[in-house]
Amino acid sequence: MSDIIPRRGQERFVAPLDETPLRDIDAVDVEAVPESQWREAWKRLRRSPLFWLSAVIIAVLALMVAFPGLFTSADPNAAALENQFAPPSEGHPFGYNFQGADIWARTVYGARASVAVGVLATIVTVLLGMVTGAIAGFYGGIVDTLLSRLSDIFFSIPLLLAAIVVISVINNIFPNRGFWASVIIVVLALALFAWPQITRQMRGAVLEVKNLEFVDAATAIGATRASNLRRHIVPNALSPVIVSATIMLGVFIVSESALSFLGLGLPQGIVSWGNDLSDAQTLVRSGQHLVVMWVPATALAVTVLGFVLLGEAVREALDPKARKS
Amino acid sequence: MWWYVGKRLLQTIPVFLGATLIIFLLTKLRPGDPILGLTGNKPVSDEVRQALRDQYHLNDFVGLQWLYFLKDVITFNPDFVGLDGQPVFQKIGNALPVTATLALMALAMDAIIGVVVGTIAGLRRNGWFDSSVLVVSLILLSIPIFVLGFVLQFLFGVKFGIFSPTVGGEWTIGDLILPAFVLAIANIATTTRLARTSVANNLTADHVRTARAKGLREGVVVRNHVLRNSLVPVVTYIGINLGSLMAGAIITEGIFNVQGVGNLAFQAVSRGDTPLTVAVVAVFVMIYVFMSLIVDLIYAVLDPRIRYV
Repeated sequence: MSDIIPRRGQERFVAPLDETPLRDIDAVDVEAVPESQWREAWKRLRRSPLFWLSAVIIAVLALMVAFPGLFTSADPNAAALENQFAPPSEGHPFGYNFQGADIWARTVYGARASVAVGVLATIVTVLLGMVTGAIAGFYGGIVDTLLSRLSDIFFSIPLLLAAIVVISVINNIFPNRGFWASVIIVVLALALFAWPQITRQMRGAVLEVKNLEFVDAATAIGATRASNLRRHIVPNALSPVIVSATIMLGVFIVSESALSFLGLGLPQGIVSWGNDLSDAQTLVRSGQHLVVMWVPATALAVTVLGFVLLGEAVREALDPKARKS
Repeated sequence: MWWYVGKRLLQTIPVFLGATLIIFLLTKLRPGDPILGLTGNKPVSDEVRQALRDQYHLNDFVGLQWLYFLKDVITFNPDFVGLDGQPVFQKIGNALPVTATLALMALAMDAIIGVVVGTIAGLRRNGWFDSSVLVVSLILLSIPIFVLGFVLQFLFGVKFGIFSPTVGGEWTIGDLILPAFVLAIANIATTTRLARTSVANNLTADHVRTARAKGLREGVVVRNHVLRNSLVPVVTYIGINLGSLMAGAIITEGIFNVQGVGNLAFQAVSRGDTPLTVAVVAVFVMIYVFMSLIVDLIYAVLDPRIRYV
């Protein structure tokens, strides 16, 4: 028997009593109002280095979107062919692209379009998904069946393919559009086929929450069904949706660039990372002037990384399972 | 169990009808005269135009046109032609093998690399391997697939010449290794993370502690008790993604010039070829629906607690 080596988790079966002295147990304030779920999550979030890293990335990005002039003094639309592939110079840290436009300036100003698509598409998707998911999970029955089948239909068509069909049709109806009209079309094309993902999560979470005791307690003191749904069930079913939404934001920004790569994103005239990357593809094939691709690609990757990290940090803060281990 | 399969197959009918109807109506919204597209923008006489419109059922009500389309799809009508006059099913049949091979290769890479790396990371949670896997997978998730595709194509295809940079019409399995890897990258990152979390959570589960307490060897505990339970969510993710892999092939096939379904879909959409577009989407939808059924059945094999009635 002596050859059995105790393994992890096996050395000790009972926690020794002296680890929790009585005065510590007495010190617990039974009367204290328990902190809300969100305040507790925020406390954990503040301690997470991942969260602060993502917060810095997103803050810099927000600054870039709001005040691009702080980062560059060059004009992203000024192009002179004599500057074609000109090397970096004072005020133009990465040089010029094929059209003779400042690469850095285009990257800075391109943040606006990419972020607008990502943020708006996420807002629309989450709103659609939250409302349909909450209704389906809460009311059940025929409403649930109809909404679930409808979300099955939209979920079964691959997002990128569906977005390509929608955008190519709209491109033929309205060939010439301004900045916001183009952004909104990409947003709608993405959101129209992305909402079922949120619907499913929301429905599952609402089904779980609606049978908990505090909902019964609210009903007992006279809360109506609608106010119960709004004030008690939805806020407690939100955490998986919030995590998905942060990750989705990154996915949408990448999707916009993928659509631009196929020539179906924002129109060529609009400065966006997707358009810059799609312009750079022929250069990459020949392995020349790679800086034209690296600068917008890095900006895009760092942005998406920021939102993915935020999603991770929020998941850790909100998920009681991950907290334990 | 067979009752469950039958019920699920019945449920696929509204999904199939709804998805094809949505795409059909969307492509119908596109302005422009399909007959002019067919004849290469040459003016045609009224008789020819009428004959063509009759052939494509363009004079009928939109809903009826969709029913004609459904009839052609369900019977695999060999005379069902796209707007360029070529049989749709022959085109899809020619393009499907290469895309299916590509997607299955990507799926295999995803499953093998994702599960192995994720399991090792999960068993040694918070070690150096786990941390570096986390960093690498987050970076891979953040880079757009076509940027990665072009860089790998340039490095391995052009500069070092290990793989052929483009695939083309005559393809071999070897040609598809690089495109399949590019296609799989984003999924590998997610599968790894999923497997890692799942394994790490299961390591602290009660039944694993019981297995250890019984005195089972660590290898047996991991293989029979941790892995088997951890694989359930991972299998779902991998299986469900065959559909999105095939759609993601639109980008990958564009980069590596693979003459597959993704390329076909993109051409059909940009030409406004309604029959071909809707038929390709129908194929994607069917693949998705059947994969999710298969995944649900694998569930029951992996987790005996799940019983389908």
